[in-house]
Amino acid sequence: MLPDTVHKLPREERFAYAKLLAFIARIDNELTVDEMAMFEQRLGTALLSPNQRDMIRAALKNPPTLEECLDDLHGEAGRLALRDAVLMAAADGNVDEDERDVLEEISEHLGLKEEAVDLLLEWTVKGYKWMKQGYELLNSLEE
Amino acid sequence: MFPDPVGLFPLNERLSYAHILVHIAAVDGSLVREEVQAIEGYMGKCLIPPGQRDEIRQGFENPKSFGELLNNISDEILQYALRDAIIVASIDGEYDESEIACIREIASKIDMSDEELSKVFDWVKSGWKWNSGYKKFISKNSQK
Repeated sequence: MLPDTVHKLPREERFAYAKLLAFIARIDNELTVDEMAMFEQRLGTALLSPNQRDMIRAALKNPPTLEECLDDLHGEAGRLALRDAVLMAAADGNVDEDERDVLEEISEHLGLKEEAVDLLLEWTVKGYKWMKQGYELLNSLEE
Repeated sequence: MFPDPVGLFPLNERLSYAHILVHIAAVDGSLVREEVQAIEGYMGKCLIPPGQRDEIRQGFENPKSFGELLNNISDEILQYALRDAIIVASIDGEYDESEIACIREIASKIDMSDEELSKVFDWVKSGWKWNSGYKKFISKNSQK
């Protein structure tokens, strides 16, 4: 868990960022423990107020539409939300077609280049490899 | 940023884990917003109930005894605490002596050698390098 610039965004933008992640977490109508943990991690990282956190957790139960999320999402908040949407979509080891379509729609909304999602997925895979190296390092100490 | 086994440990272990990270963040006497951000992220990642996070946050001002924390946590989760303590300590750009001393104390508790500890530091450094990589894909310059 490396910190980043999400906390520097204005509060309303952080809220819009978190709302999109709530949508992504519920995209397949299932919520695994891993997805919940990642969602809560990003919620913590966004340093939202307790009241906003409650609202976002409520959005997890009754997710907003993608259109509602995108209406409030622009600029850096949008780009960071796309990055973390890619991370969350890949949390179960697979990005299915529905998830991929949504990621492309977000990228399109933000006006990013066509290859943006592919590049973020490559970056995510590298990140998972980095995490795996960390586990291997810790596990090697037990031997 | 990734799913992690820390969330699977019993709640009392996760609370100790979070207290250790708070201690690391606060031990050098200065607390930057990025450290708070990281701790909030870790508390979320290990699914600490919202009601119990306030007690952990109090540790920023009144940290628990580090020795007691180390005595009340299993070696299994302490490995992850060590890994994440190094990340938290690296956030403000340099490792303070007080942070290093705590990290060494954790390493000693789990019988980690200096060489092994050095590898974990290297791993954290490589993570920062990886993490910065996303910026070029989604910077303003990456727009159509």
